[in-house]
Amino acid sequence: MKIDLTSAIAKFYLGMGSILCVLYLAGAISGFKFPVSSYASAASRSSGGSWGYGK
Amino acid sequence: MKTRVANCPSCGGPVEFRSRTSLVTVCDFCQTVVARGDKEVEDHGKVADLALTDSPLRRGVTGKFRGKPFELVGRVQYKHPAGGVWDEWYLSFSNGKWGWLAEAQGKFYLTFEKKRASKLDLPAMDTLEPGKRFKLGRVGEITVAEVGVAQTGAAEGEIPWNFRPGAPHPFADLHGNDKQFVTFDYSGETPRLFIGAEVGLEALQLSNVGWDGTGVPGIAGGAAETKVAALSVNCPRCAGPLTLLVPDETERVTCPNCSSLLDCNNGKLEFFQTLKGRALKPVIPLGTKGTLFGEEYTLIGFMERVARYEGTAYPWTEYLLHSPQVGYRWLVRNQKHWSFVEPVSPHEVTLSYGSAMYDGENFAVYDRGDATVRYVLGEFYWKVSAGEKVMTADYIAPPRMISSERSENENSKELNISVGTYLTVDEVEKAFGVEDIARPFGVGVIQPKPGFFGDLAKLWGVFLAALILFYYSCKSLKTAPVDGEFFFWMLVAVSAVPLGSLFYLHSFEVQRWSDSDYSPYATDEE
Repeated sequence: MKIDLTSAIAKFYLGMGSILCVLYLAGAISGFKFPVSSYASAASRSSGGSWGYGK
Repeated sequence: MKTRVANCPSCGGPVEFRSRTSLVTVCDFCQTVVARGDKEVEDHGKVADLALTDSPLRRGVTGKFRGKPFELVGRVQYKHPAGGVWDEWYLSFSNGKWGWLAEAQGKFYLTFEKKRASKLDLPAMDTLEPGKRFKLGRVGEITVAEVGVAQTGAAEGEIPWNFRPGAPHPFADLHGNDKQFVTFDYSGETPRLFIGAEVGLEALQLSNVGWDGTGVPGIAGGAAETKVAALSVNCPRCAGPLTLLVPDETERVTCPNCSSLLDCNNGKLEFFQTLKGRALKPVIPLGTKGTLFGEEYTLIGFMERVARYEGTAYPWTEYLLHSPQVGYRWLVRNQKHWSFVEPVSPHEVTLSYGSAMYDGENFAVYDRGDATVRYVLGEFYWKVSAGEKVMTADYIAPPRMISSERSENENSKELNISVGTYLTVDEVEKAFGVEDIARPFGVGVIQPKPGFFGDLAKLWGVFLAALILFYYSCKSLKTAPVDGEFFFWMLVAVSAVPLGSLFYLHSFEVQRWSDSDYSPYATDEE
């Protein structure tokens, strides 16, 4: 599987993807938690979620 | 060869029948057509001077074809119904056989008469339509390229048929596999059949051939040696100066001073038409030389053609290129996108309503309609005029396009097929040594699709595999609690570029087809 990295977009994507992989690896090892938004947390506290339906 | 010598019935000079089977010879002194009679030779009238053509051949040249020696003993010049002349040379073989060597636009077609053609039941001329295919005996499937009525013009030397100057010559030209070439000659009561092929001059093993370094045999004393490279003349309308770059082949030329379209007969000019409308300036000047695909061309003509659809005009421009070695080619500029266009045999292309097959590739129909000449500048090898109209159909498989053009007038029906190959502006600039040609903005009809997606997809696979590996590795190692949502958004982030490029490529194709009625992306609402 040979990848041609001569195009600008391929170079850009190689750099971007590599950074994302390294970031994920570092985050996963350190136990990084994805921040939960206040809206999402408020919705989760309600009985029926964000749609407002519930018991 | 046993030579029979007689006296010309017109001037009394000696005329020779070097071949025992030639029917006619042209007197070299007074250009009288002298025919063999039962007892004495007959006078068939005089012929005009030969038009100076770009032929590298001349009478008296000898050669071998498939081991059999021959001598080139005569030729007839035919006037094509669309203007221009073509040469037909006669090869007298030592065994008494004749070969017909037609020469047109840098190509040579060698044919031999097939006796007992009546057994093959040749179709009537009025049943033949350009593009029609049928099987012909052992020749196999052939395709009609042209049906027309030419006229015999000048002649020289010995001729194996009963030549008369100015006689109509109804004919059909057909093409088959492997450069096969067939002519039906409807001049007589029963049609005659000639079967052969397009040949290169090297196949004829010609003697006296001196190579001039350009790849074209320059035969000592041949027409090509004596031709005038360019000719300065004056416009018969305004007396302004103009230069003919290909004076021996040009049929129409425009005057750069008064915009008159002029008839050109071997360098002699006559007024034909005043060109109306706005004057256009070619982005590559006429007379510019350039090299494309290893061949040097001179840009000799420029024209604007237009297709009309629902009241809107869609113009494009075409640049006529000439090379003494390969003949004529075109550069086409449409919405600032360029392509290089070459003729191909109609038999090599299978046309249907929705597609065309050529060179093992399927081309999808893009457009059908009429193309009308709106403006011309420079020299042309046919009698072009403003308002000239042909029926066109274009089929695409980027970076190539197949174009079919059907033209018809009272004396001829013709199908011309060509293949266009996309050129970038940089390639055109480099080929012709010009600068600052405007760049296109949108997507060209045969512009190649960007090829980066394959590489992005491979990288995408690598990154996805890496993320999944990291996710499960961290999970199994239990170094810290692994957040699934973080993993999910990382997958999304790493997929953004390849998915975005997919969307871009789809938009690219939609834009390519935006001017077509046959777009596979069209919706019912459009």
